[in-house]
Amino acid sequence: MPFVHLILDAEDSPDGGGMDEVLYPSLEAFRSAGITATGFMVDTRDVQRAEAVVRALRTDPATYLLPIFLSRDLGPRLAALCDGIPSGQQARDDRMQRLRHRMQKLAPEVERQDQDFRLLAYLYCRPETVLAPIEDWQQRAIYTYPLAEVLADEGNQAGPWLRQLVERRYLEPARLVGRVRHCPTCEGCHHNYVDICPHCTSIAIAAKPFLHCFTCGHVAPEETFIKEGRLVCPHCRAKLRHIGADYDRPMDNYACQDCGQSFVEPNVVAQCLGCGARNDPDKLIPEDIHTFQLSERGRSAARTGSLEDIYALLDDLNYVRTPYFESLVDWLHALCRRYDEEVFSLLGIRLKNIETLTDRLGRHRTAQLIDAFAVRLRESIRLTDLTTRASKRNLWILLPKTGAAGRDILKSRIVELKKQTRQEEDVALEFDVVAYTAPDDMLPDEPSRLTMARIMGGEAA
Amino acid sequence: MTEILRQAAEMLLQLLLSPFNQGFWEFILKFIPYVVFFELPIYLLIFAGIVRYVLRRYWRVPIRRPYRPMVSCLITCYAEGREVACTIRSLSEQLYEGAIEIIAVVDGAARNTATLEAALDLTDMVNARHDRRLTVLPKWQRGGRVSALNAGLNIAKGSVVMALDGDTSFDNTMVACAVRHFVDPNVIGVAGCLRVRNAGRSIVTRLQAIEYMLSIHASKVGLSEFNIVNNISGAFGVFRASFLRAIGGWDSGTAEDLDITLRMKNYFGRHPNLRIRFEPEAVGHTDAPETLRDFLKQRLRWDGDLFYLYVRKHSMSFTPNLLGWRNLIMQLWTGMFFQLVMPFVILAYTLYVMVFYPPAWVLAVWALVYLFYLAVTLVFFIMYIVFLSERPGPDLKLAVWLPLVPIFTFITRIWCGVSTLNEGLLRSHLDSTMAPWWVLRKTKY
Repeated sequence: MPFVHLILDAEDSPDGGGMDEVLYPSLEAFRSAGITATGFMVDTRDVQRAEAVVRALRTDPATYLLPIFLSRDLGPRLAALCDGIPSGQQARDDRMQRLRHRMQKLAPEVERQDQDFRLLAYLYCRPETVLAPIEDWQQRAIYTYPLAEVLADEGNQAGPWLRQLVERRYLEPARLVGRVRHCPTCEGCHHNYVDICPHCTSIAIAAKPFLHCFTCGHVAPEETFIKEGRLVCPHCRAKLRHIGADYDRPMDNYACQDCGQSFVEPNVVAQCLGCGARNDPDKLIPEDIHTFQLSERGRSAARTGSLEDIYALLDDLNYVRTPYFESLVDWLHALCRRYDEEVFSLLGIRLKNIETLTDRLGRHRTAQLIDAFAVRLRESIRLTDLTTRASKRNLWILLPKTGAAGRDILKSRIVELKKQTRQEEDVALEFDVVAYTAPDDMLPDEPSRLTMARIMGGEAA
Repeated sequence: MTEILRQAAEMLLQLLLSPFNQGFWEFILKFIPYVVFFELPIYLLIFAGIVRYVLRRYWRVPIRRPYRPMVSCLITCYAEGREVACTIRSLSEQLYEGAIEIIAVVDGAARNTATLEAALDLTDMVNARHDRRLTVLPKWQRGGRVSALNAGLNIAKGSVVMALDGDTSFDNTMVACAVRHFVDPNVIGVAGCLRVRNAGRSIVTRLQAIEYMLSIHASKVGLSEFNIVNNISGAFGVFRASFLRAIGGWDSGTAEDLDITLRMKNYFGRHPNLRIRFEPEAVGHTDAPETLRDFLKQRLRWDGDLFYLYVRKHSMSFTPNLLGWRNLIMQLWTGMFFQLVMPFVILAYTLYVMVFYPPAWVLAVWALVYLFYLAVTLVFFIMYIVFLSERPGPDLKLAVWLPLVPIFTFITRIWCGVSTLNEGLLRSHLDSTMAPWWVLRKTKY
């Protein structure tokens, strides 16, 4: 397998090379040759051509992980997508050697179609690389992550995707590099800050200095004092000759040229350059911009090929985060204690055999199984029911305004789902369902965390 | 003692009531020569000048000329501290319609950080105003007033340059009033009118306030009418930048203000059209020494510098070819004679009277001299209040101190003699606070 030089600026077909190095004038020429490469050197002065080639290589599942070198500095955007500019043959070989070594550690059944895994594998092979944002005023979001954009599935936005990976703890923020403020209307980050009249919001305002006559205490705009090249108080006719002795400047007032009102301080609004909305600067939504690195969990996922998160498939059913879920239960408990008619129920589902299923069916089919289970579960619960995942395998459903009767109906329906997940290999999704209803099962002053732990540890269906 | 006083009073009364007896004339002949022949003509000249000024002002057709040259205000700062803010602020407040560039030269800025910071703090405030610009020029190494002024002149862009003191602030019409003279291409300098800012602090400052009004304000109005202004004050001088550059800026040594005035006047002989004016409406307020001790210290320097300048440095200037006849006579008369010779004449005369006449006579003579000067002071003061003062109300309140003025003037005169001796014998100008010794010792005179 040769190392491939893509010499894009050559007018004629480049020739030369050797046993393990071949030269091509374009990416198409390389592809039509149908060979497998160990790495690439993109040699061009043209940033756009280089970017097109590098993007094509990084989006292709066959080549996305391979080392790509540049022959010269072509700007930060390309630098983020490539493996640098090697100082010589030796440096290049060293780098490739290290990459190859890491690539061998990746899980063999790597699912290269999966965008999550592509990113994790890429970062795993390059332990010194962080996912760094690039500041670019021409971009709507100002900060972009070129590598994430290239590795993401088509049409997928890099920002939310990275946030999701952080939430799932595959990535972790490394360094805070910036902060942007988003327009609440369109999420744009480009704002023009203008000072406006607080009365009519016109931008036609002008500073108007005021004078204070010491003799009579008259305070008025400076223009009313000017008379024949001198300052004369319009009120007491005193000649104002010397600042500090005869008069002073108590304040700088503003006057609106449109509505005529005068005011001490103008309002400042942030005018969004994207949608034109005028927002109070306090209402803009701040976002911290970080560089990201692979977390321990992310490294292990890249090595084992298991994203572990098959459970997470359950997370899109009216899902709320656990602390919030717990505080909701606390709140409902408080309601029950105060109002007699208030009633609600909890259902807990504990998945028991995901590991066995993964062993027997493989990761992909297990995921399909869970997904099917989630779809059915979603059909069973109401729009007003909430779910959370308290731990890896414990799923909770909160049923407001539901007594023991309604709860048991849902419980039996869920237990029924077990049968439907049975597979040809005679395995099925195994789980326990526990139930709880307040105020009947309620203990005085028990926090929801304890309640949930108590019933999950107790009876099982 | 009371006997002597009674006799003196009797004699004075006799002299005043029957002015033609024999003893009176004998006495008058001893008293009159220097008074009448030396001082009175000057008083009359000044008086005539003031009348001319008042009449001219009365008949003047008010013209607003479209003449708004850029003005550079050089402020020489040393250890004024926060006070310099007042100066800068009063300059940024000017109602002048043209551009004003304020250059605060902080001499010895490495040590005078408080002054430097006070000036820097104002930069934004001044620059926010239309056509006003503050440049703070820190001169890290101290080099004296002259070096500060020349450094400022170096970067000044205005065609009119003002040399101002860091402890002097200005009325907001100052620049407009001073600059209008330069529309006449023959005007090369304008002396500004200084008032005492801290007049209310002590008797010494009150008396100095009166002295500034009469012997600076009123007399310069008179002298200006005849183009014989004696000095452009260092705290408040206005110059045509091109002329200033042509004569090479300020020259080293102390009393750089009198030096540059004389050097400008040295062209009057060859260019009789050149003018140095005094502008009574361009008003600056400065701090006068508050104690008698400080006052005497200041005068020791000022009057000593006169000897240094007239005798040591500028003795060659006293020729009609350079100064022109008019200024030569005035300079010899009011400069050389009044300032350098007269104190000794007065001293000698006083001693003579005291030795050769009985005490009652001496007292009577002194009383008469006192009354004469009081009369002159009163005439000038009334004229000043009626025709010249732009703050007649507050100025009139100082009238109660007028009886002390002749005594104050006498002390000043005698002290002037001491200062001249001090300089003549001890070369005290080499020990000035205006520049460090290592600079002064290199001057040629």
